[in-house]
Amino acid sequence: MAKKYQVKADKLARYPDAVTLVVRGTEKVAVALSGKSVTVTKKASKAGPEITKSVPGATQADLKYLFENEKHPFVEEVDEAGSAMTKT
Amino acid sequence: MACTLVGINSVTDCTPNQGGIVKSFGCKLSDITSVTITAGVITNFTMASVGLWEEYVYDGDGTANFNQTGSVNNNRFSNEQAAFVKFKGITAAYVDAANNAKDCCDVVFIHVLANGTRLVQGFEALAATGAPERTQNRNTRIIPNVNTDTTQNEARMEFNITGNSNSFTLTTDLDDAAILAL
Repeated sequence: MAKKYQVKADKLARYPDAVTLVVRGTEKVAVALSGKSVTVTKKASKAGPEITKSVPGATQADLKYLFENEKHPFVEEVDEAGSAMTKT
Repeated sequence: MACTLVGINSVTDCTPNQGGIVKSFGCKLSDITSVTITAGVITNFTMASVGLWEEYVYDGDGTANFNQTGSVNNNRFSNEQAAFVKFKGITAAYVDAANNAKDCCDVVFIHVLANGTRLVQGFEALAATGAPERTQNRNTRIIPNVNTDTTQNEARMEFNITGNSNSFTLTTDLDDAAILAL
């Protein structure tokens, strides 16, 4: 049966904007675990001007990397129907 | 951690080993949701959102340092962790930063040593990937000073970042770009 990777529901509910690093090629890049891009704007302050930072959503390949290489506690492997394939 | 002795030989060459720290990155402990450990080294952070690490570039005058001092009371080991960094001058931005920093109960700092090693202050050493736990014996906090000093000296703001833990800080292999990408 085909496998896919997803963020555990309880983690996603608690940390909807969670970001982490994945390796793409030889580079470490930040991705949002929800699969949707996350953008944050820091207001201008005495320390400096307004800054906007954005990271793209994680792809299936990114989640697979986190599951297989990091045993990431937020990511689970599921079948196409969405049922967890391994108890974690 | 279980008792294990590991042999060390520091006399293999005479490469200079400059002390001190040259820059740091800081965030609140609650901003970190998970820490990835690979062979005892921090290889990734999962953050609650993007842009939570702040970069601190302090005076390069040889005063910045991060010391960990182990001690035993009867049979109870503890580790006093203390970083000192200094920013020349006093500005509204500095005063604002000091007033905000003093109210953080638990902070995490990545200190970059002159030799490139990066030590992560602010949570107990983790044996495996998971959520970090605050320094158990005393929270890691920022204690700022804002000193005009005298005309012979320099006005400055200082951060003392101190806590007390049961373990020594782990290292991380993340470079500046990776930390700031988060």
